[in-house]
Parts: sequence; C-alpha cells; structure tokens
Amino acid sequence: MIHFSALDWFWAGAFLLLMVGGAFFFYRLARRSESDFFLAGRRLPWWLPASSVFSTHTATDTPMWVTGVIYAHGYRGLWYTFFTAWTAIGSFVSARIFRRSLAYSQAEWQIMRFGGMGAELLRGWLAGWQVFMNMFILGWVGMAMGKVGALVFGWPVWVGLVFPTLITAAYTLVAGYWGVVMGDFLQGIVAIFAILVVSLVGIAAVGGPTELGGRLVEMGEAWRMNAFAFTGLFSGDFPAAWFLTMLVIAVVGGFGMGTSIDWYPEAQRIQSAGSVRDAAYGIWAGGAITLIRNGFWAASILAFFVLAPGIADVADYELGWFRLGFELLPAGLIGVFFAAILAIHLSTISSHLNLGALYFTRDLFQRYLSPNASEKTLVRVGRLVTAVLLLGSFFYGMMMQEITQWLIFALWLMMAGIWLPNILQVVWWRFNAWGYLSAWMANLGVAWLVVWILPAFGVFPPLPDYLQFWLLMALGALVFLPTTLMTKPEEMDHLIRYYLQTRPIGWWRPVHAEAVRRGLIDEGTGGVGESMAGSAAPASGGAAMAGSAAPRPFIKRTWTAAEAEEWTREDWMVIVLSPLVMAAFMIGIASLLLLQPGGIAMTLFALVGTGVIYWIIDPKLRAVSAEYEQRQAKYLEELERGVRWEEAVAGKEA
Amino acid sequence: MDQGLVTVIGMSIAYAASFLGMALAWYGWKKRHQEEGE
Repeated sequence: MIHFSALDWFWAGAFLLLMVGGAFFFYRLARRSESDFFLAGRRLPWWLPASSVFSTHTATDTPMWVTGVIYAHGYRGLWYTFFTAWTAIGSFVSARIFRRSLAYSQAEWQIMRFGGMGAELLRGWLAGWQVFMNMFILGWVGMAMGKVGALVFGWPVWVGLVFPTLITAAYTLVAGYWGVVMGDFLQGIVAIFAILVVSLVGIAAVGGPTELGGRLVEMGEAWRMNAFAFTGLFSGDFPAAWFLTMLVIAVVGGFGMGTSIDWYPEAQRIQSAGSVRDAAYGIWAGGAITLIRNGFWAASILAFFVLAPGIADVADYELGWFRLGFELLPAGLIGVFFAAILAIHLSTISSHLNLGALYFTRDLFQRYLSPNASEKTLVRVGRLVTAVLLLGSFFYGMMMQEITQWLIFALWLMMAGIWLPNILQVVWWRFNAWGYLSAWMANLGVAWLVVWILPAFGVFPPLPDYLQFWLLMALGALVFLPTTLMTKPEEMDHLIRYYLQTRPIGWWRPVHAEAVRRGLIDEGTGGVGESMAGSAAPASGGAAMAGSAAPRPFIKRTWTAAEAEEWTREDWMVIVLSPLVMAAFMIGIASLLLLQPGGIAMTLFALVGTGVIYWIIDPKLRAVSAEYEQRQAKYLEELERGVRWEEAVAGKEA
Repeated sequence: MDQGLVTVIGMSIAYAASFLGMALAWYGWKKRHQEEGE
C-alpha cells in the first residue's frame, strides 16, 4: 500500500476531472457524423495522431512487460519492444497507401483491394476478428490496471479493472474519436513527463549513470548494458537468429498492412490525419517517441536491477517501474505519477473502445445488417457498441487472469502465419482474396500442428518462437500460394481503380500497363488523370515532364503532383534510413543515459538522420498531399457510393 | 495444462469471432443477391 498525501489526491483528481470534463467540449463535434465520431472528420494535424500513436502504444501493462524483458535480458531485451519499428517503413509506405484508400478500417480496405464475394468474406472476417481483439485487449489492459490498483491501494483486482475503465467510457461515449485523440494528447504529455522523471530518479537513486554502470560491472552483469550481447547464432537463451527474426518482422513488416497487431488502431490514426503527409509524419513520430520511451524505461529498469537484484518471480520484478515511481518519488509527485498511470490506461482503453465500435458499426452493422442506416443511427449504434464492448471486457478480464500470457503468445503466433500474406496483399497485384482468406484459415490448422500436435506426438521437440515463425510462414505459403495461383486474379477494372487511388508499391506492372493503355495515366510519370478509374479522360500529369530537358538531380526536391505519385529513389533512401534511425534512437537513448560513448554517437546519428529524412521526403509528401487533398472530397463521395451494395452489384453486372 | 495446447485453444477462441464475422458477411452477400434476383 502506498501513502497518498492531500496534494497527491489533488493531482490525481484534477487529472480525472480534466479528462472527463474536456470530453464535453467535443460532444457537438462527435455527434455530427460517423466520420467525426470515428475519424475526427479526417482533418487532424500530424502531431495529434502522433501523440495518439504513442499514448495507445503505452498501456498499463506496457511498463510491466518492458520491465520484465529488460530485467531478465538487459538492454538486449529492448529488441522485444522493437516491433514498433514497423512504423519506420510503414509511415512512408503502407500508411501512405492506406491513407489514400480513405477506408475507415482495415476491414473496409479489403473490399477496395479485392473484389467480389471473397473480399466481402474477408471484410467480415477481419471485422469479427477486430471486435474480439479490441474486447480482448480491453480485458487484459484492464486486468493490468486491476493489479496496479491492488499494489497501490490494496483494492480487489476487479475494482481497478472496472472503475478507471468506466471513467474512460464516459468520455469515449460522449466525444467519440475526438475525445480519444484529444485525451491522448494530454495523456501523452503527462505520461512522457512521468516516464522521464521516474527514469532519472531511478538512475539517481543508484548514484548516477557512472555509478550504475560501475555497479553492474562489479556484479558481473556488464553484459546487461550491451544491446547486442547475443549468446550465439542459434545457441543459448538469446540467439542472434531470434534478433534477426524480430528485426525482419518489424522492419520488413512496414511494407504490409496488419503485420503488427498495432496496425489496426494505427490505421484509424492514419485516416484521421488531415493529409497523406500528416499521416506519414504522425505514424513516424508516434513510433519514434515510443522507441525513445523504451530507451528511458530500459535505463531505469537497469537501475531497479541494481537496487533489487535477484528477484526470481516474474510477477514481482514486472512491477519494478511502478515500484521505482511509488517508492522513490516525493509526496505530491506520487499523485502526478498515479495520474500518469491513469493516463496511459485511459488512452489505451479509449482507443480500443472506439476502434471496436468502429469495426462493428461500419463493417458489420452498416455493411451487412442495415446498409441504409442514417448517420444518426450509426452514431447511436457506435455508442451502444462502445458500452457493450466495455461490459464484455470486464467479463473477459475476470475470465482470463490465468491464461493471458498464453493468449498473447497465441495472438503472436497468429500474426506469424499471416505476416507474409499481409505484405503480399499490398505489394503484389496477383495476390487475391481467396489467397489471403486461405492464409488466415490455414494458419489455424498449421499452428495446431507446429505448436502442439507434432511436439505432443514426439515428431519434433517444441521449437523456439523464432523457428516457429519461419516454419508457420513456410507451411502457410504452401497453402496460400497455390490457392492464389489456381484462382482468378481480381477483376482488372477493380485493380485499376484501386491502383489509381492508392498508387501501391511493388509488383503492379500489369495493372500499371493497362491503366496506361486506357489513357488513365502516363507511362513514366504515373500522373493520374482528372477522373477516377473508369473515366475516359486522358492523363495530363506527364506534361510537365515532357518538356523538361534538365538532368534529374540525385535527390530531387521539386516535384509536380504527377511526378510525386511514383515510387522513386527518394522513397527508397528513406525506407533504408528510417529503420536505422529508429533503432539508433532506442539504443542510443538507453546507452546515453548510462553516459556510454556509443550512446552519444547513436543519438546524434538518429537526430541528424531525422533531419535528413525530412529533407529528402518532405517536398515529395507535400506534392502528393496538395494534389490529393484537392481530389479527396470527390474520392470520398465515390467511396461512399462504392461501398454501398447496390452500386457494387450494379457495377459487377455492368 | 500443456503450454502448446493452451496456446492453440486460445488461438481457436479468437478465430471463432472471425468465423462469425465471415458468416455474417456471407449472409449479407446472399441476401443482397436474392434481392437483386427478385
């Protein structure tokens, strides 16, 4: 039990009042339309989605598992947290493509990328999966808050599970995504402040950075300060093969959509951004701040290790960061620290409540149950589903206390089996709905085989998780590749429409060639004509290039909108540099806090690299955004028509 | 209970929700096609 002074109660109470009271400012905005309730009207500047990405990535359970991996593995455990680096490439590839699709959700995107019944089945599949997932996440995050409540106040676990979540629901119900994103901004500031203060106080409690390093050396634990202290290529408890697998999953995953569970909430942030440029910067900055946060946490957990070494029970050392805050901070600041814990809890709960409601309302209710529902009805259904998800999460949270860690592992495995298809659906024109659907279904059977049946019958021993990943991927490919190639490609009209709107990266040559043949774009520049696919209007985007005889600079900084549509060397430079910058931020900050020379160099590299990325890509993103935003209103109008059944069926028959 | 078994059972529970969503999509698709036929 922690003692709270009057000042501590004041800070915690004031914060809660601000959160709930602030929501009413946005009530009128949220009730205007479905787009306002779920996407804040698609007009947010980049820093709001960025703070929302950070806040949503920082849940009550996050300090626990980050503490767990750093306490057990030292700085090399930081690579467990590196999955966030899908944002490194994702910001400039998948976020750009997804933002241009204007889909409300990943499920809705499926019927833009694919066509026919297969696409509809996929949309239903993903929507069902996401309604469950959001309830599940609400349950597990709620349970983490229950445990913190037990630690701080000695409350029964259900009290911490239910009451903070109810407060969150109040403003999420009232203000929808407006409340979520504005709340996330305030919560992000409070959370960052607390993380910085607790980390510095923790290091100071040991005697400072130099003393911390010295004590680790004395204890024979100097390896904990090395993020690359692997135990061999395949041997030991921390093989390099595991690290490389995590690196590939995170970094290459940025080319796809859904390669990380975090993609689904971030898809909502991408669409709520005011432009393609805002979406890219929002996701990138949110990811980078999250990785920097991990660096701060890691340093403080090393301090906790020095202060309390040899804790064997995971459940005990996982609370290390909370203990640092509650045991080392002075009266008054404890209340701020508790407010920060509430902040990270509220931000995650609100996001997932709103997101789960979005998937049900938009992708299941509106699409399959009541296609002609009014905006008013949709907002009402959104609020009702928010409440139902809330109640379901309480039930789920109480039910899964014993199996949470295995469920999380199961979800990771699930992502493993569909990791490659999630990329192929973005980068390969020939991949179709049946291939993707078969990948999801095969993954269940293959996981049963690899994880339980074959090891249980002694065919091979239980495999380490990184080997399971590659085996699941290979076996899944034996199903989804033949399925794709033995079924028809998507209709060319459908593919061209998608291609012109989103301009995907990868192997789209046949679709590009057909669009050129129809006069919808110019060869070479890829400039989109005045109309959407299906129109007979010829392209004019290449006119600016045609008369230009000047040699192309190595890094081009002046773009026409038509030129900027193409994927060029500038994009690839950023794609290569961005993951390096993110890794340097995470490891650099963690090392810098111990005053290691490498840490200073890496942090400097990350800062300069950020500037270089901006210098290279900003002119291009501005050009893409300016042109695209002019057409957005028309695109949205077409989208609303396109997602209605009548139009879809009529289009098919035509 | 065996760790692997618990894992795949947990995974199967999550999949049940996906199958429900897909069944709803199939129902919606069939219903729309029947309406178009009439």
